[in-house]
Amino acid sequence: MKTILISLAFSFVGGWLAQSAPVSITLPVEVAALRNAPGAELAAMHCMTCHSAEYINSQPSLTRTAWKASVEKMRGKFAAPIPEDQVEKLADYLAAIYGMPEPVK
Amino acid sequence: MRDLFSAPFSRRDWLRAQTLIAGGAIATQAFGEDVVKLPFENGERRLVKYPGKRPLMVLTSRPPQLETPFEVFNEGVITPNDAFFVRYHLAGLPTKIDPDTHKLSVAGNVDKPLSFTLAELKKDFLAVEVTAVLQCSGNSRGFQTPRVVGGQLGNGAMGNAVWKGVRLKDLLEKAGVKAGSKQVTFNGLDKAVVEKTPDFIKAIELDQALDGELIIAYEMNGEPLPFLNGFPLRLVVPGYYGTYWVKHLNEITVLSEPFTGFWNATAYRIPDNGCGFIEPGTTAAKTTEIKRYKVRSFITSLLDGAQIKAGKAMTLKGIAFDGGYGIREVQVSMNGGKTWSDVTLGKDLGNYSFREWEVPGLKLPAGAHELKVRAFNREGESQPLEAQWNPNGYLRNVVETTRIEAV
Repeated sequence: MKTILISLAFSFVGGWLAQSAPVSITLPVEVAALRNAPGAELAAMHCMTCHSAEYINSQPSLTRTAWKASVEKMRGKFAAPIPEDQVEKLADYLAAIYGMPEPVK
Repeated sequence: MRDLFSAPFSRRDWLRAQTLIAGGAIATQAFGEDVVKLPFENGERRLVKYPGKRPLMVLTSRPPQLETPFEVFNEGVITPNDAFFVRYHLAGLPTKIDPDTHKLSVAGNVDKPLSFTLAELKKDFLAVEVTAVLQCSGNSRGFQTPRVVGGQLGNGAMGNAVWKGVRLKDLLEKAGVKAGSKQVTFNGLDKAVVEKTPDFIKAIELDQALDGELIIAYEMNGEPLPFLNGFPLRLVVPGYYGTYWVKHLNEITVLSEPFTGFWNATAYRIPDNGCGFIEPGTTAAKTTEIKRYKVRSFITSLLDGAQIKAGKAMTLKGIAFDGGYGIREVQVSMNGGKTWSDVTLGKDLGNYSFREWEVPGLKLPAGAHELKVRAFNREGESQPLEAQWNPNGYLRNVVETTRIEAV
């Protein structure tokens, strides 16, 4: 009987604690990285403020025009704090490392 | 509630960025994780175990976007919680939530603004359940040709679950929607890293909000929502693309004017031409919000490239779904679409659910075979034989082809 009472009391306290405890998660450590080449620091600073490197690594090869449009979209629509004079430099890095040639007209 | 990630760009971010470069591009291999390859350029995906999840394919790690390995869809008609895909837009997602103090407010153009705890929702409102598919708007984007920028997903950004919660209609009626209201918006706890980035808020028409189909879910497959699927509350919009299914829901606002926010007015839009597809590489003259799922069907018992035993009987299995009219018929072809035959449909779990199908006792002779599957819904809508295109890589629903070899 004593054991039952103790375990009842324990489960009550346990249940109460479980109910009022916040639920928290720990996300895995971020390991994806941008490919190292001139301009990578700049890209890391301006692109990886808001998102991890896979946002870039997983894209298909894109033309410089498409990469520049992406940078401008992040700067314009998503308000990424990218100075205007850095847009071309970022497009250069992205097109050099994750790029494909412009289609021949 | 702790305010997370609301600080703008800081020195800490810069230091982190530096570290990540120093880590080098080969870091992904250094932890002994499995890497799988989706069949398109840059389709390598690490399999990583996130909280509450089995190892899933990492599309992006910050914010987390996890894709369900396709084999899971052959495990059963319900997608297990620990295998269900994850998609966030903003890196300021919550990592700690107290379900006892979390509140959901209903405000805006209402007679009586209200606020509910999870316990109050469970105690004061009728609990309802729906079995419904949740599919990302960009599911299968990686297969679109020509390729487009965006989340490069295979076919695993979808899942089918039993959602339990309260009806949105009941909450709105309790608060009293004022005459002349137009739309209702939904906001969750996730925030942007940069203050001026548009917060992830979605709007739906008032008529839809009151139609009784939408649910504020607190359970998924008989358990509290997994954290990364929107714990403790998420909006469930059966038949509609996942963009509307706001996670960690805490604010419902009734509007007297149509919503003009980024995530409805600029993002998640499709060509406004009835079908949502246009000539590849072109721009739509006019766009509209993405809404209901197009009809889709998949073979799940055999993956592309599989080898089977020639002449040995097997059961070919798969799933089909649509935007809420229900699946009427599924057909398969064993010869690349030359001839089609009906399959046996599985149990009907409602118009919003995956519908299982099977072909028992199938024997194939030695050689290469091109298997195809197509579904028809109760409106007679089906799937195109040739893949179609739009600039954002949404709505893909081509008739899928599974190439196998019998030896």
